[in-house]
Amino acid sequence: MTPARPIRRLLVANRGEIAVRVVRGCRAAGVAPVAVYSEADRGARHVRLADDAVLLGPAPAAQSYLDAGKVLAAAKKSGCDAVHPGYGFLSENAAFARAVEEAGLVWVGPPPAAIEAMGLKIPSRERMRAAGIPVVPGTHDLDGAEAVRRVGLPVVIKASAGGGGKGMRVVRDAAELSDALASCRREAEAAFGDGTLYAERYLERPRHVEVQVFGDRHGRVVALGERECSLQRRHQKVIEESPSPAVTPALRRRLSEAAVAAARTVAYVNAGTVEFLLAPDGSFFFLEMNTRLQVEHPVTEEAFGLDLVALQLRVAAGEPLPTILPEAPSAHAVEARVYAEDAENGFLPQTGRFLAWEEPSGPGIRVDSGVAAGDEVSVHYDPMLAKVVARGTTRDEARRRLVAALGETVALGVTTNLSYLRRVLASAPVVAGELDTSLLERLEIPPVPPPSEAVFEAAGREFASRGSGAVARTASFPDPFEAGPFRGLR
Amino acid sequence: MRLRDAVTGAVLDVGEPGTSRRAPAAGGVRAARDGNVVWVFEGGETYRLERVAARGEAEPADPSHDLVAPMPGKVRAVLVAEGESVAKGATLLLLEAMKMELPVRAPREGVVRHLRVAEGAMVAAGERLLEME
Repeated sequence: MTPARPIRRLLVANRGEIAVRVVRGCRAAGVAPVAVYSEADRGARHVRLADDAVLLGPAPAAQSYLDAGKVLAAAKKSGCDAVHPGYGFLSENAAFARAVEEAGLVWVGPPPAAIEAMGLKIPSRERMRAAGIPVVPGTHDLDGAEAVRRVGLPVVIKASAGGGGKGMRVVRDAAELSDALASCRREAEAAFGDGTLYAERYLERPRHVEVQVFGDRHGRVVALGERECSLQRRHQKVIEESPSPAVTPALRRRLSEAAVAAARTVAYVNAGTVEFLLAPDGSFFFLEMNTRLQVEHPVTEEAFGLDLVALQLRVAAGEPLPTILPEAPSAHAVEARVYAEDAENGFLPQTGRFLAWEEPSGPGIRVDSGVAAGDEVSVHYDPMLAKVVARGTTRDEARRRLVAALGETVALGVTTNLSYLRRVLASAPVVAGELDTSLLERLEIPPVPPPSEAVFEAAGREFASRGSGAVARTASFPDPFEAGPFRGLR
Repeated sequence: MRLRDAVTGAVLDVGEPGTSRRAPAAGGVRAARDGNVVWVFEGGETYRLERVAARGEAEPADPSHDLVAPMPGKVRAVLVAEGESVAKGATLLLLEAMKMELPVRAPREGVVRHLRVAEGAMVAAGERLLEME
């Protein structure tokens, strides 16, 4: 670990909304942010907000944001003394973290050894079991299908090197077992270059509850409450909240103790997340630890009144965690992830150029976004565009604010899941807080209401007017294309 | 000019707009054209409208999961009979409101058990139209 020293200039080694978020954290901490970008991201929002920016290379991530050598060279060339990886890309690459430290720069993240220890799921399960933290009953001996049968059906087969739902299958019938093992192994080998599998008892209708942990270099590790992320589609989180409607103060204490114990097993420093499955009877089981800032960190920030990125920078510079940190949330926060996808047609990812993009505002509303009108959504990167977060004194107030805010978000030119998010947030189980990880797969939501006559008339006027890229609006909306950088789109 | 919304499948003939520019509708309607598609935002929903040549079959793009009327209006046509087997996505009836036409499609494969409405009936939004098995 590099010696403690103040951070003055930081390379934001990411793109999109998280790069914008880290730039804002830099401003809060008095640090100068430097962006990196690919040829597809020239003039992107994170580039415009930073003090300086370095071109990495062509659009494909492997030749830009994932190229550790280029990112490190960009940090040195631009005079940075620290690197923040965001999430995804190089954030959980221990070799990159080590290279940053060996270059004499501060790595804003956990020690490389902690990334390695938690990166492989089988050893991390063993470590947790040894530390007395409950793990889902399972087996690593997958040579014989008999071993899986002993775990009890249904089982879920997972890749040891995995994540994001790849190399993962639920098996309910012993007859499907050998086929499932073979296809998981193929998927895991293709995705991670490692076909090692393990199996866990498949819990029916569990909740996904995770604990935000934070460690400093002075041996202190704290828990900052939980987030409930049960609303997932194909293992991708869609809506998250803090606190969890299922967690009582007593359960929060037990979850926090287990999460802090988990972090201590790897001498954890900086922000991390310990994920658990919570069964309906209140028992919980360690799933995995994510050794980075999570996508859904804003709900913790809003519920606890913290700036986790600014805290990351202070801790990375060697400062101790603040003596007094909140132990319980003082508000409720709900976040919805806005994706470029067609929720009405199999959630297929969408591409295109934003003809209009307008973000909501108002009491308790926060938007973490990486896009602007005129931006192109390409096939090269993750289709998540923005996160809309609402805070309230109660869960229902936060939820209602979020529904209203999503309804104020204008996205023309690229199909998004905005309408789907609103309908999910208005559905009876979500209103009641009765969540589990398969709810979204079986939830029946009402269809999109049909357009009014005014919608048809507005479209008719557009078709009748001259030009092919004109933008019309009612008098209540200013025209972003009348002046400024998008004038040329007319 | 006949327009079709690709999101809901709704179709409406808006006459010949543009000759005399009508006053914009009340409320925050936003519209932006990208070639052959006009994107329209209203009331939190985003629609994608295209010109369709003539009164014809709408393309399958229906999101409905429920066989209730998605809008108030008149049942213009009932295209199935009780006991009939239908494929997922088959158009079961056509609703009409103002001059707008909206196909109601089968959310899944099944058999039409009970028709609760007949041609010409007026229905409220959310009213049950038919039962499927």
